[in-house]
Parts: sequence; C-alpha cells; structure tokens
Amino acid sequence: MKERDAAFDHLFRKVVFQDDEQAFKELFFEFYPAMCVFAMRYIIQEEIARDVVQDVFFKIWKNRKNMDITTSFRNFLITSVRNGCTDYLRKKEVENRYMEESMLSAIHSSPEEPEEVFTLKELETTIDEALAKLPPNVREAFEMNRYKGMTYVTIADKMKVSPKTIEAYISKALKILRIELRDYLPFLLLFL
Amino acid sequence: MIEKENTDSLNSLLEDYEKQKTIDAAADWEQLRKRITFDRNRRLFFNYLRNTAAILFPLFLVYQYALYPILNESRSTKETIMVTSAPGMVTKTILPDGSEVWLNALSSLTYPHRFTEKDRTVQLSGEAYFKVVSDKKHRFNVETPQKMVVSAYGTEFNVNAYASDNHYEVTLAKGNVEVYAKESPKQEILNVGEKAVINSLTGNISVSPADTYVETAWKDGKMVFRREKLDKIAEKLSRKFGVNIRLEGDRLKEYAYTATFTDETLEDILDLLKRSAPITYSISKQKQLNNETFTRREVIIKSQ
Repeated sequence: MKERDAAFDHLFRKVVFQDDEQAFKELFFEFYPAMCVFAMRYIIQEEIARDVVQDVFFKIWKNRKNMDITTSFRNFLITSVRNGCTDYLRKKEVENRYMEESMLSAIHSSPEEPEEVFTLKELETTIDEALAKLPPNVREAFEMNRYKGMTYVTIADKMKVSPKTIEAYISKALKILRIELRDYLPFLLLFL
Repeated sequence: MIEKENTDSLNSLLEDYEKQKTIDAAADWEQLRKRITFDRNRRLFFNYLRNTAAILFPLFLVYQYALYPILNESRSTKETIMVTSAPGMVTKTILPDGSEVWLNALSSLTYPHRFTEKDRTVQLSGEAYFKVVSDKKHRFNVETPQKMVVSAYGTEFNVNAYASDNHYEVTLAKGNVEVYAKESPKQEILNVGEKAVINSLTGNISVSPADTYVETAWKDGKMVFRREKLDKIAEKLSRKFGVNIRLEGDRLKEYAYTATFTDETLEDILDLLKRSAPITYSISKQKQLNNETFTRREVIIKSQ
C-alpha cells in the first residue's frame, strides 16, 4: 500500500510539473472504477456518480498548477470525490428540498472519518492471491456460491458431497479470506 | 457479533470489487479526454483573443487620441470661417486662439477653424480692430485684398482696408507690428500711436503719427472726425447707415470737419454738416426694383 501510494504520488507529480497527460491517464484508469463505486455510497444513480467523479478528474487536470496537496494522492482524491458528492447533493437539495436529505446528513455525520478505497488492480491482485490460498475444492465451492449464485444444495449435488460439507467449505473459505484480506478489512483488529 | 461484522465487511469488499469491474473506465476516459481538449482549445482561443486585444487596444488608443485628432486637424485647417458685418453694425468675434476682433460695418474676416500652421493667418476685407493674444511662436498675420500683410505676435491694432479704397491704413494701439506688401521687400515697423498708410497702386508705405482714439472710436460705436474731408465722412456715413451718398461739385471734397457722433440719426448728422458749411442735401426714397428688392436710399449733397 505505502509503496503503491508513493508510485501514485510520483505519477501525480509528473502531472503537476510536467503536464504529463499519460501519467494522468494512468491515474484515471487506476482510480476511476474505485472512485465511482465510492461515490455510489452517496449517490445511488451510477450515471450521476460517474459524472461527479469525471468532474473531479477534470478539475484536477485543469487546476493542477494551483494545487497544494499535503496528503497522498489517494486521500486527496477521496476527499475531492466526497466533496463533489456533497456539492451535488446540496444543489439537488435546493432543487428538491425533501429528497436526499438523509443522504446529505449521512455525509455530514461522519465528515472526518477516514475512508479506505482500494483500486480495482489492488483488489484484483489481493483477492486473487487470497483465493489462490484456498484448497481447490473449497475455492470451487466458494466461487460457485459467490459468483454463480448457486445454493449449497446445488453445489453439493454438483460436487457430489453433502450440503453440510459445502457449508463447511464456505465458512472455511470466508475464514481464510478474512485472514488473507485482513489489511483491507476495517474491522479486523477486533478479530484478535 | 464480531464474526458477523467481519463477514459483512468482507462481503462489502468483494461487492466493491465486483462493482468496480462493471465500470467502463475506457469509455469515460474518452469522454474526459474530449472535455479536456475542448477546454484547452477554448482557453487557447480566449488567450488568442486576449493577446490580440492586448495588441490592438493600444493601437486603437493611439489612433483615437493621437492619430485621429491629427488627421482631423489637417482636415479642419482647410475649413475656414467667415464673419461678415452688416452696414451700420460692429461685430465682435473671438478667434480660435482667443484673440478678439471687432469688425466694422460691411467688413468680412476669414479665419481657419483651428490655427495649426506656423503662423496664425486671417484674411480681412474692410476695417477691423484686432486684440491679438500674445504667442511668440506663432505670428499673427492679417492679409488684405490689396496684398498687404500686417504681422504681429501679440498687440492691438486697427486695420482699415476697404476694397474700394486705393489706400489703406494700419494704426497701432499697443505693442508693435510689421507692415509690408506681399510682393515687395519693403517693410515698416510701427510704434505705438503711429499709423501706416499704404498706397495699393504704388505699394508706397508712409508712416505718420496718428490719433488712435479717432481711428478706433468706431468699435465703441462712435464716429470721430478730426479735420476730416467731406468725401471721407460721406464714405463712413454710407457704411454706417447703409445709404449711397453722392457729392455733387468738386469743391465739396475740400471741406473738412471736426466732429464726434454717437447715436445721432443720418438726418441729424446731415443737418449738423449743413449748419457748419454752405451745403444742401436731399434724400431720395427707396425704389422698388423689378425683382422685388429695394434700392438703397440715396443722399445727394450739393454746394449751395
């Protein structure tokens, strides 16, 4: 994480000091999906969330020369997107006083709480690595359940084992994943 | 309890990952790239406009405040103004440089809209009294139809140059003036209280002492005669009252009068003349002409 952040910050410095569009593009592709999903925590409609995030990126490019970033690029981006969402909701609240109010107060109630956002690549790598640590049949059962939405009974039928075994597989998978992904799970400290 | 929360956060992490995979970053990047390009082009365009304006605006100012007045000036120097004074009237006018001019009856003065040349030059036909504003860099020239020039820097003088006369006079009230004929190299410098009489036929200039009060009294509405010959008096009366005066008999021209008139009528004056010399006069009525205009009244003065 630390090294990756350093790499992003390096890219961002290239954007600021060398007007490096390629570096900006790299940052966009790295963070755009994660930021859209993050924005959707506040704005339910995906289209609008994407517009807000696009806007944030546009402003970053446009104002790159006048920016004073004291934190990492990741945190800066998170703050910018959150502000973008707040602005959008506030505008909408003016237009339509009664709707989305609860959403806005939700943002207001936890203004300084640090949020963690992981990029698609980061999740891909760590989740793949974690899944690789599962015994093959456990992983198969987990993926069938998770990605194909199959019930325990169906999986048991397919793998020719009892549903009880599948249940054990799944809970084993979750246990291993929880350990493997502990750096990415905010509540894991309590697990000790 | 703890177990449940961990499952939930693991679950949301996995969900997050799955949702991220559905976002089409490439398409949105394309959109963003277009927006950035558009914005840059717009900015370049406005910079171009601004730079162009930055160059054009001073040029415009130069044109508006430096070039245009110069062009306009050269145009307006060709524009001249003509002031004419009717019979019996004294017209006062102020020239563009602030000089004051009193125009006697039946006189006209032509001057430029603005004085832009080295010299301030005006054309006079008739009689005028000049009070010239001092300007050492720009001479003040009065040109007359008889090619005489009166030249000064700042002074007060009277020029009498009716086209009908074959001599004309310059009388200096203040300062000093130079008098010369246009074609002749001869010139005279007048002192205060002197007058120059120029013969328009020979170009001769003679300087003699003058009574400036007599010469300039007309501008205060007075006619002052000091041993003036009757023909001269008749000329002045005809200008003042807009009548034709005919003298019958050569002897009449030899009579000389000394008098001061202010607001007497023509008849009053003629009566006074009659009383002091053996003359009679008659005034004919105006005659209507075919073109519906009227002739001037005519005064005939005869010796008794």
